[in-house]
Parts: sequence; C-alpha cells; structure tokens
Amino acid sequence: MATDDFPPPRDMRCPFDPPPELLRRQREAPVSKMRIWDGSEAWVVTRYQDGRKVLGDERFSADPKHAGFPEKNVAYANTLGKDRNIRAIDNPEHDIMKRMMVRDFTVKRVDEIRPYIQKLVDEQIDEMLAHGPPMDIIPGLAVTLPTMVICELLGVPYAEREFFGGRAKAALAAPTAEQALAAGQELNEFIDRIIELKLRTPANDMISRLVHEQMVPGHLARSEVISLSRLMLVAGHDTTAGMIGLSILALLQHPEALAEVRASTDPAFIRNAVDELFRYLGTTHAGRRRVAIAEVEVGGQVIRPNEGVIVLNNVMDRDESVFADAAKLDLHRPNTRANVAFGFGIHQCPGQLLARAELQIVHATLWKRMPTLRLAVPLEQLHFFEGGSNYEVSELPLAW
Amino acid sequence: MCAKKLQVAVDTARCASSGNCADLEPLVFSQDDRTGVVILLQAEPDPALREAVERAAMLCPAQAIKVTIAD
Repeated sequence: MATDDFPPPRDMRCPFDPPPELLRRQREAPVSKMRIWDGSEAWVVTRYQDGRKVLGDERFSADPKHAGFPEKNVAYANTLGKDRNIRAIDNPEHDIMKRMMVRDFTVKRVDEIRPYIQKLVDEQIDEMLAHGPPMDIIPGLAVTLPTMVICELLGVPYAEREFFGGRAKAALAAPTAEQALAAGQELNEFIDRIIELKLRTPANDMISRLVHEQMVPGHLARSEVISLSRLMLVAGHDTTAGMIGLSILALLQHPEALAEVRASTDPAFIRNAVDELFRYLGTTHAGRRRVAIAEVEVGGQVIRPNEGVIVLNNVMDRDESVFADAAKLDLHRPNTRANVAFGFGIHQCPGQLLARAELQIVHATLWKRMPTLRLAVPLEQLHFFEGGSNYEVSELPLAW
Repeated sequence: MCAKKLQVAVDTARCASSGNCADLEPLVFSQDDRTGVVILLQAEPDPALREAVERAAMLCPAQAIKVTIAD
C-alpha cells in the first residue's frame, strides 16, 4: 500500500516536479485519502479550485487543538503546533493578532528594506568573487541573505545565527518529540532574553514594537510575544534560503530562461520570473494543513468534522486548467502570480512580499555580476532534502 | 458606446493584511502602516485599470475586494 503513504517518493530524474503519484491523483482522484507519519489518514486536495475553496472556508480550521488535525511531523506537533499564534488560530482571533505584527511586512516596509537587501546581495557576491571557484552557494548567499534580513527585521543578533539556526531546524524536523521540545524550549529562552534587552533598549525592529506597543500595554502576553517571534524567526529564513538555492539551480538547468534573466533590465519581467519560479518549484511541499469542523463537500467527496485535510499548494500550482503546460517553466506566463506557493486564505504567508523582494534582487543581480556562473558538479551528484516542510537542494557548488 | 464605470469596494473587516492588492495596483490600494489593513484610494478608478483591480480581487487571500462594472 506504499502509494497511500504521504508523502510518496519523487522521481529524482525530474527533481523540480512533485511526486508522480500526487500528479496522478490530481488527474484521477483529486480529493483522496492518504496515510501520514502518525498512522492517521487525511484527505489530500490536489486541484487548484478545490484547494482555494478549502483554504478560504472557515469550516476548515488551522487550529491543531481540534481532533484529527494532520500535523506535518512529530517535531511540529511538539513545537509550532502547540503555539497559540497566527499560524494556529482561526478568526476572529487570527486577524486581531495579525494586525499587531504585520507592520514589518507591508508593501511600504518591504520597499524600505530593499536597499539593505541589495547591499547584502552585493556583499555576498563580492565574497564569492574574492574566494574564487568552486564555491557552495548554499551556506553563502542562499542562507546568509535571508538570515541577515530576518535578524534585522526582528531585532535578533546575527552573531547568534549558529545557535538559533540549529535549534530552528531541530524544532521543525527533529525525529523525536524530546529533541524537538528541547530545541523549541532553547529558542523560547533565547527570545525571552532578547525581550528583556528590548524592554531596556528598544530599537527599530519587530520584537521591540511587539514588546513596547503590545506587551507593555497588556494586549499580548509575554508568552505570546515569544511564540510569535519564534515563529517569524524559524519560518522566516529557512524557507527563503531553500528557494534561493533551488531557483538558482532551476535557472542553470533552463539555459534559455537564464539568458533572458541575465539580459533583462525590466523589473516587471524579473517580478514575473520570480513568481513563476515560486509556482514551478513549489518548495513548500508539505502542504497547508487543516481540519474540517463541519461537513463540507470538496471535489465530489464529503469531508466530515474532525477529518484532516492536506491542501497541496505545490500540486495545485501544476493544475493544467489554470496554468497551461504547467510542467514547463515559462518566465512570461501571464497568470503566474495566481500561484499559491505562499498559501491562500487568511493564513497566507505574511512574509511573502519580503521573500519575493529577496528573490527578485538575487536574480536581478547575481547573473549580471557573475554571467558565467555554472554547476561545478553533475546534477546527479546533488542531494535534495525532502524530509522537512521545505524542499531544497542541500549543497550547490558553482564555478564561474 | 459609453464607457463603463469601474467600481471597487473593500471589506476592511475581512481584510487579512496580506498586502497583495497594494503590491498589485498601488494606484487603487494602499495599506494602513500599523495594521496592514487595506485602504481604498479610489472607489471609481480609471476603467483602464480594470484588469489590474480584477486581478487584485481574484488574488486577495481573504476575498475582501469587490469589483463591479456599471453603466
């Protein structure tokens, strides 16, 4: 019964495509049950319109407190899944908390941060050029850029990156509850110390604002500030790092598309190209997790209360009825912004504008400053990490 | 032939502060600096912006934007 186990294997001859079994289900059994890590069953939703319906419908809850909620793994079940913050609460509570923390992710704020992102990208490229080939771009540009950006935005000291980076990975993907809990607790204590610092010395950052505008007047408890900050820290750098690495590899494997990106000075084209890379790569491949709190029909199937639902946004973004020739990377695709790489509904990623800005600046800069950039090893030698909530290439040695 | 009127309405109670609309069509949509909630800059924008505002409405994750075409 291997084909009923979620997630089914990918075909590594096509490392950018979702698992063939999920694409088969999209054609033949678009809403169907699969078995997850803890032995329970959940409905897997694969078509674009069905997925949007679930994610926009209040009869599906994002709250893991409900029986039947399909957690991603044992680590999530013991860390982020236990938190009471925007990720795991429904409306009306969700919007109240979201409006307390979102000001560092608005269009205006992201535009203010763009020059800082540009400076960081240029510095990372300077380092590559000074180092000389070959060089693995994952620990360099791919991880360093989003880590420095989220540190600046939250007010977390970048010098502590080894500490929180390791704990963040364990909190999301450790194989046992004990390891995940320990890492999660260490992160909580780390953020608690930062809160103490911001109480005394506020700065222009998200944690300072949460402390002085929400915690001190009593709108948020200290534990809520800790949990929100921990969520932003762990979700805020790993996902973007993975996307930077995989998108660089994808362009290297599509020379015609790469030539257009390298030659383009049109910001609108770069925006569209980045949106298409998000659609095509579907790195958030563990799906959006929900549980039904009422009986709802989706795609011809009746989903009952306390039945788990996994909305596969990466498979939705390969739906031929929305994206013609969906398996093709087409940087000019007119409707590619309709992709659901960041989810849909009230829980759509609050950092999406920031992540887009980082990817836009990387691709508008990297290929022009390093026009001969190429893979330093054959594609077959690369390792891909599939085990977490994010799909990524583990190392990417480049030459130029 | 008379030009059709483009009418836009936003539901600030539903708005989930995603910023998609302000990113997609900054002539029509903005955001409150503190809460990220949508601010409608023009309720009857130039009909030439129809495609852009319809796209913003379609992509709004909270489905908080309504576009109507009137005579």
